[in-house]
Amino acid sequence: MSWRQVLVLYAVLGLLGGEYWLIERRRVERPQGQPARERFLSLQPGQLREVRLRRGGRTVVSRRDADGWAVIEPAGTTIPADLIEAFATALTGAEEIARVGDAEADPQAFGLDERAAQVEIIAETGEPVQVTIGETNPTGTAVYARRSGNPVVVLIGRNVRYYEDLIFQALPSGRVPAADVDAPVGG
Amino acid sequence: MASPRWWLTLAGVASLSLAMLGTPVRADVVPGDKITEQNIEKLKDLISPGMEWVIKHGWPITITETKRIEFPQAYKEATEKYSGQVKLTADGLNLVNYVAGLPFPNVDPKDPQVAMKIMWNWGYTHLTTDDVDLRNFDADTGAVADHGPLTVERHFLLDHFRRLFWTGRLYVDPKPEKPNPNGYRAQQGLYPVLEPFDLKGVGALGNRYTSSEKQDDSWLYLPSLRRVRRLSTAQRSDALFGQDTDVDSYYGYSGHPAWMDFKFLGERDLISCYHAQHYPVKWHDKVDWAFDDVWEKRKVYVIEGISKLPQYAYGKRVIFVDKEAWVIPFSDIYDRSGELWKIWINDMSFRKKAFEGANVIDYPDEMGFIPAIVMVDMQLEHATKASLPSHRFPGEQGWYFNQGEKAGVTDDWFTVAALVNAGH
Repeated sequence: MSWRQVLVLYAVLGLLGGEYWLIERRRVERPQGQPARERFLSLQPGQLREVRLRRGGRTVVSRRDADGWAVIEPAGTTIPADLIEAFATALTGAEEIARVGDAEADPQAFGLDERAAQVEIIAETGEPVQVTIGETNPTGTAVYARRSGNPVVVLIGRNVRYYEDLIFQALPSGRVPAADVDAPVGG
Repeated sequence: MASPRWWLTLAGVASLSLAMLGTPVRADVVPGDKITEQNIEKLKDLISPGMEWVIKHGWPITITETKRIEFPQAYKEATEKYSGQVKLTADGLNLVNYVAGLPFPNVDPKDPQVAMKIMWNWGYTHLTTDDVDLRNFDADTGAVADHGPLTVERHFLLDHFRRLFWTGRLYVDPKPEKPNPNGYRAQQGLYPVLEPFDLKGVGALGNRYTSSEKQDDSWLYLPSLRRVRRLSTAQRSDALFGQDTDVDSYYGYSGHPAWMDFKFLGERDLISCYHAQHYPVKWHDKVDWAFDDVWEKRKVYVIEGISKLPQYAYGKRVIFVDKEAWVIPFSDIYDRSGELWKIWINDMSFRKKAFEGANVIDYPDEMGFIPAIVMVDMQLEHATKASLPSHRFPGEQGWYFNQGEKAGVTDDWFTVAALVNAGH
């Protein structure tokens, strides 16, 4: 083998190594059985400035600040910033599991009426985006949702609804607490 | 003439009702309540979506009073002695100066590292401090019927699940750490499979290191191929042996604390099965993939975990960690679309002995026996249930805690050679 051939082989090896390092290593493979799906919203969580959640006559408004997320409304309420971030990430990262209704769809059939949660997302740029989150589907794994400017009813992950529930559960209520077991060292 | 007090009382009740309308009173339960799909509203603030799914498919819930869970005395003393010196590195990925006990007994929700501290506490929980040997247990896997039984597709019988901890040891010499040139935190083995016949001799083995820079060593032995296959860390989330369960979901979460990005989602009340009355497990007569036991109301931390590994099977886990006991009652698992996928449910029973009887080990403290686990795949309507121990072995204690060599938990057992030999 000539020195020229050795050099060519090294060059090919270098190219393959570069391709692996720059492309293959960063490629995220989806587990089998999960085809690629359309994103529900074309927003990244980092772009969000404000999240307004309304459900059952109660409203929670959170605004991004230097430390993460601060609750603006109801004033004086403490909700973990991570929870707001997790909700925003779950909603902006949500994928369309299925399209289940068009503009003619009966909102009541999907819980997209007065029972629904209304979410308004305000990003750094662009118009605010409104999302309506309805009932869970019969299999209990996803929820019906609709976004402003698009009448299609889609299924998105149940995770969004659970985080929404956790946010509203973090608000003060008249609930009787469980037995106080705050002692840190095994009683 | 009627007393004006009557009107005052009426006005008071009306005012209270109006106030309650403005501030919704949450659902709640009391001991003795029996919850089914019909009255699940009473539980709606005390369960997760995964638990809601199983209850709506027939899982029965009986509420009992909340009981305290005490740390074992040695663990409590170690926590008091050593926790003050334990630090978390700035990136949250490694413990510094840990010796034994709970690393962070005083968790502050405002602490920027709160999620990692909770998960490190879970990683060093008191469930097993030195070693454990789980013997003679079985599992069934198959499709679940709505309000009906499991159609058994595969039945498994397993000989041993063993864990040996190299650090944080409290009972078996040498302690608190075995001479540890490899830097092990723990070793774990699940072998040999005895049934079904086509999987006879199959087993899994793994080493966990104290340093988060080192990934687990994991092996799977397949006698039919006469091959030992090495598994990556991400493959710990793959369902094993054709079941719904994966190694990373054992106990509710068994990955290294450093392998996920954890978020602290808050605190809440939740039902948990920590004082199961039945040992071995009692499966429900009709919905036989559900253990039929008592649940109590507990306070938990809610943690979201997203794997740092791109090949990881799950999109995220929502893990509930008990504020007092530092154990996980159940955890929900979502796929990458955020769709609810699976739930892992622990049937736990803190008690001093497995059951009354001669030669049954009587521990000085209540230990965390787990007479059953269930993992349900909601998308496939499929489940795996395990009886720990199996009903086929009357008198079997199942769980043997901190018995060291007496229970066969030796260094040699956690070698690939022993795994292969047991498979012959």
